[in-house]
Amino acid sequence: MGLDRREVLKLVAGSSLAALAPAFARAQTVGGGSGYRATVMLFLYGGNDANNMIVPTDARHADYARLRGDALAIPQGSLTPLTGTNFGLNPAMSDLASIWDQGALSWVLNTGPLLQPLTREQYSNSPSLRPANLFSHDAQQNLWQTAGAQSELTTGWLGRIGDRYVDAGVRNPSISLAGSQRSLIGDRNSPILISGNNLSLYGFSPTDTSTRTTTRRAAFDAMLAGTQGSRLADITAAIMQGDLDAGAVLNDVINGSGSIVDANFLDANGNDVNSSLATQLKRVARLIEGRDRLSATRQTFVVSTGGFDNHRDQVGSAATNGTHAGLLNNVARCAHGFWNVMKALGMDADVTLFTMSDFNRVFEGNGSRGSDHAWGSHHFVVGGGLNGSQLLGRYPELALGGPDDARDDGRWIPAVSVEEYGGALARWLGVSDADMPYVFPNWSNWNGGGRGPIPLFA
Amino acid sequence: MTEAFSRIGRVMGAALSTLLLSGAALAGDLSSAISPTARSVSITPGGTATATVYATVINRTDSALGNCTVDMPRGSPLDVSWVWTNAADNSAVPGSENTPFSLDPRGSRALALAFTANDEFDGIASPVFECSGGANADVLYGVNTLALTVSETAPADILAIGIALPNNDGVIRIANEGGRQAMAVAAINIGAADTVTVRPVGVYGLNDRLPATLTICESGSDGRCLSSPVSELSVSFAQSQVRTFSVFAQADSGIGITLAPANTRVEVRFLVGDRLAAAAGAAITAPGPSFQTDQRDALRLAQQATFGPTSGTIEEIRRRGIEGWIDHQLTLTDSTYADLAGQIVNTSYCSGIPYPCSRDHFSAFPLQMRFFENAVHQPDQLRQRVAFALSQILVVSEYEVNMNYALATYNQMLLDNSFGNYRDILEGVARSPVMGDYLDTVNSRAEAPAENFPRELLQLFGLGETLLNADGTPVLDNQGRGMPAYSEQDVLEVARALTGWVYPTRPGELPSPRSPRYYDRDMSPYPAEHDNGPKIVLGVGLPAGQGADADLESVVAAVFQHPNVAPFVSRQLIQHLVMSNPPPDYVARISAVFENNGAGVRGDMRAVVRAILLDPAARTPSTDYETGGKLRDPVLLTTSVMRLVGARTDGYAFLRRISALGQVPFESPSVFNFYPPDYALPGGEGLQSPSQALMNLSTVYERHNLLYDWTYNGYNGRWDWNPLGDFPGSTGTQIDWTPWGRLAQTPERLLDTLDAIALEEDLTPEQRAAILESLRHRTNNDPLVQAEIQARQAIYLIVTSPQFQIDH
Repeated sequence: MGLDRREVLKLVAGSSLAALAPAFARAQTVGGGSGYRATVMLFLYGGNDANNMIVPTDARHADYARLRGDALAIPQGSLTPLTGTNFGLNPAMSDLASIWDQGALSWVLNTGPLLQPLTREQYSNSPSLRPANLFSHDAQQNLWQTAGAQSELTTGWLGRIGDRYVDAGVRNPSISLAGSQRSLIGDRNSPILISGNNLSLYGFSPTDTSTRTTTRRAAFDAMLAGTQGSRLADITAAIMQGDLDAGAVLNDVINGSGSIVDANFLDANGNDVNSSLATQLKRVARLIEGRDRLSATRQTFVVSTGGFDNHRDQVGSAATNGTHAGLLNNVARCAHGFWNVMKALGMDADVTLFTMSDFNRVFEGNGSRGSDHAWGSHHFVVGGGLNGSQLLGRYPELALGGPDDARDDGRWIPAVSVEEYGGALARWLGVSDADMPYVFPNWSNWNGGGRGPIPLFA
Repeated sequence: MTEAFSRIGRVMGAALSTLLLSGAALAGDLSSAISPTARSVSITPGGTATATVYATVINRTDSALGNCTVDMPRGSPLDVSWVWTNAADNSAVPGSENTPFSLDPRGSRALALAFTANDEFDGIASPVFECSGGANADVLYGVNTLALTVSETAPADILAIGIALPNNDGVIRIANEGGRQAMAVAAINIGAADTVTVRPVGVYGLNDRLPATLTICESGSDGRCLSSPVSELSVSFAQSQVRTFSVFAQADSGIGITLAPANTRVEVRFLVGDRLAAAAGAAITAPGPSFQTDQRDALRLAQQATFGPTSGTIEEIRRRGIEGWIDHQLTLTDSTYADLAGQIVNTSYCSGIPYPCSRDHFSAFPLQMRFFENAVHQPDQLRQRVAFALSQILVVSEYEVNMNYALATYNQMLLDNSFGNYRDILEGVARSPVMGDYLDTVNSRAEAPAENFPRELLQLFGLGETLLNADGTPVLDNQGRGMPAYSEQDVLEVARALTGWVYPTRPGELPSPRSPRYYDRDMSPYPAEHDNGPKIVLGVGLPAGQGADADLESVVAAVFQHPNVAPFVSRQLIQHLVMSNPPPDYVARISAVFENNGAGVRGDMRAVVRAILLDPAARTPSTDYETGGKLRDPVLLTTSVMRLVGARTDGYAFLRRISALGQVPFESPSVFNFYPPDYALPGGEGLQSPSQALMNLSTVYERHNLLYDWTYNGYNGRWDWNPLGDFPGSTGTQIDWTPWGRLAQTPERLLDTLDAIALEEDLTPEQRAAILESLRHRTNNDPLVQAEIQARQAIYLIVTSPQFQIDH
């Protein structure tokens, strides 16, 4: 029993091969205006301690300092003020304050996976209402990326947005610069994954048309085209074929000359930014710069940075330096650099960058100058299309065992669900009311009754 | 010129065409043979030297061929001329010098060839036999080539003047398995007197030893040995002296020698110093035991249980049988990291000591070198495969624990227990200071129990997240939802139970939370920080006050006895060894062995591994289309290529290249390994393909480019094969392509071999034709160089194919 090659290609339709097939001009039927729009998800792997990212500067700071402990607490005077609010930023993230002041950044406070709106009492008395496998890295990463709450979903909410694009004939080559990410996997589309610079096949120069080379290529292609012994192998071979086809186009976009990206990827002080995350975001920027060559009208990107799982020694000689501060500094400078490029490209209103992470960390420090796994967390969103400079959601009441604490050490029960956060982005990307339940399986729990997408956009 | 021919005409026998009848050349319209195949002649400065040999050309077609000639390839410094000879007495046909000849259908022509040189020469001459219409003969080393030495110092010029065999067909035919057969060789020295080494040599396929013992004696006129046969002789050869020798081939027991005249031969080499003065050879064949295991099944087992099939491994599996080979593997213990584990240094060891101290002691580098060297070369392949699987289930990583001796200690524990008991593995992991450092059990205190290891012990090392049936499928509640295998409370209870451990104490010290990082032996209990209250772990009560050590034992026992362990561990081991989507009944059969090895023992890895490989699902001759298949991860892909081609490597080449493919052993980015066991194949409608997680647009290119470099572009001395100068004992990587080149002289046979040992015989006629066509355009003036580069190109096309990259 074999699988017809065309059937295989249909199965992976929307993956790299189909996404870059010769451009076709179908009317865009997914709503939300015309032109190009893209979201960039920045995943902070390991569980970012958002408690030290944005901190109240009013009377609550005393509670903050007491509960976190001397090792972790950032002194009030060290925080970078967030204009017009009672909050300050970790000084390592001062670059974000500059974007905030330009009206192109908002904060979403205490957000995370939820099955339905949840109180401390419900959490304690009704375990069936809790999301699955709280406090576990990969389970919570999956819940953030799939919006499954209690179900193990194999597709992600960005991937399911992509399914709707595929259904509507919208060109949506989703791209991960961060390896395989469940968030971008849909039933009818899957992401192009780019992890390095090298997208050319050794031994096959495009200008070499000698018989020696063309016959070798013909043999290479014949090996690739063969029918395999299993469905797994047939699909894998089709993916390989698709990636080779896509790479030929992408190579030029990512590595070609004439890009303005590198020159404009600057932090708030005008300095170049170089890190793995910066490299990923520069490639995203180049892909946006070259969007017409991919014939893309809607795109979803994923980038990531890791190292946030600091059970010990997350701070250095002071809470304002050390491992965590270094990680946040890179994130903020990269966000600034990316924002700066989007402005230079004139794409700032059409591109939105947002963060996700496994979970927040326990508010109470753990005695090893680190912090352990918790739940509801704070995130930021950058883009010219935002109704910017907003604090959305609700900052938790800083009391161990208080109404916002799932346990007794500061594991915040989210005030905003992944659906409400992601829903705002989905709507901006053009997902209709009718399609929201497809993208977010638990949408009925978040639609109405005072709940729904948070008002991120103007 | 006739003069020159007459000089050897007297002494040559007429056994030449018999060599051809043994079917040496299968491709091409012509076959040709030369005798002798080595000559040494002298030259005076400014003069010309001539070396003459006999040749036979056979028309293998059913049509007459005309205008046949002999020529040297373009660019050769040698010239060749020919004269027709009478087959009966080797006498030259008058007036036939350099006269084109014709060949009847299936007919032959006897010739004498004269090679002339104007300068010194030491190499292989490969004349081109060609008739009108492009009919030609393939070049076969040692059959129609001449090893020629032209030297200004008068050399001994030995002519092997006759081979005598019972059947007189140029084949040493050993009658019985393990039997013995003699071959007589006569030689004459028509050059200067010299001391000559006479050595029988086995030529056998791809870098492997001919499975026969060869000895030689000088014999008298009655054929009897003048002295006992030895492996080689040294004789004083006077000018014009004729000597006779007997060569004995004693076949190994338990293995057959297939008749393959170009590749499986016995050569008698006459050496003056290092110089080959003459050679005479014959094909050899011997019957083996009747193999119960067919080639394809042996290849599949090699894919499942080794770091890559080789012709030798496949043959060994066929010889021992599936079960016999597995049971033999279960006894092997060749690989070790013990010496690396013994290189204990303190945490400030390299302060003030320049690089590479940090590399050698504060990174996984020496361990990684050893891993790849072992994977390519050490015989205990199955043990290594299982240990590698365990290292990807019970993950520790250089990312957090960077000391080489620590990582070596941990991985030696996995190697030691690969065929041990999973309970001991869990306990070893729980007590290991390497894991204790990696996941924070070290210095976990009663007042702040660390949850990191406890959570992963349950989620990754023992149970998995959801409750499983014995066949590995999830247990569902009445609403069709999965059920958690453990509760958040279980994590907390395990965390409490595992408080009060510190780094192992060094000699003369007491356990202390302030002990520096130290990884030799197990963690030490530190009672003052242990939570002595009662705990309940997975429903098992741990009484108060039993202490850290007993609590750890109880936790390990509670996890090990949980019904999830058998399907959770069994399924992952199957995924690592055999297939990515094992059918539930396969998992159930292995789970049952995990539960009870037949002697009432739970967790017996030896029994589990054996059952995984002997199960019908692993041994079925044609894999099930719906469930079969396993994408080779980067480690297995690269090791299998190196093993296939017969590389010698110290492992360094892998470390220069493999990070681009996303899988550097012992450097997992997190405790979740390089890829998740349930990674969904995009478009796969529920199929899982764990290592697909490492395949993306970039790595599809990187995989290709690495394979291209190591095969098509695999010349010795390339940048990533060079030794590492500052690493003791580093030898780099070398591949001897000569045997492949010999095989590629018959391109069809090369593809037959590759198809059989690399592709499970699934090359289609179209693919075969496309490869052969591409090889036809890969030419070189030197036919032997051409054969090698054609071999490398064919291997490149095979190993980059999906058929090779994905196991059936």
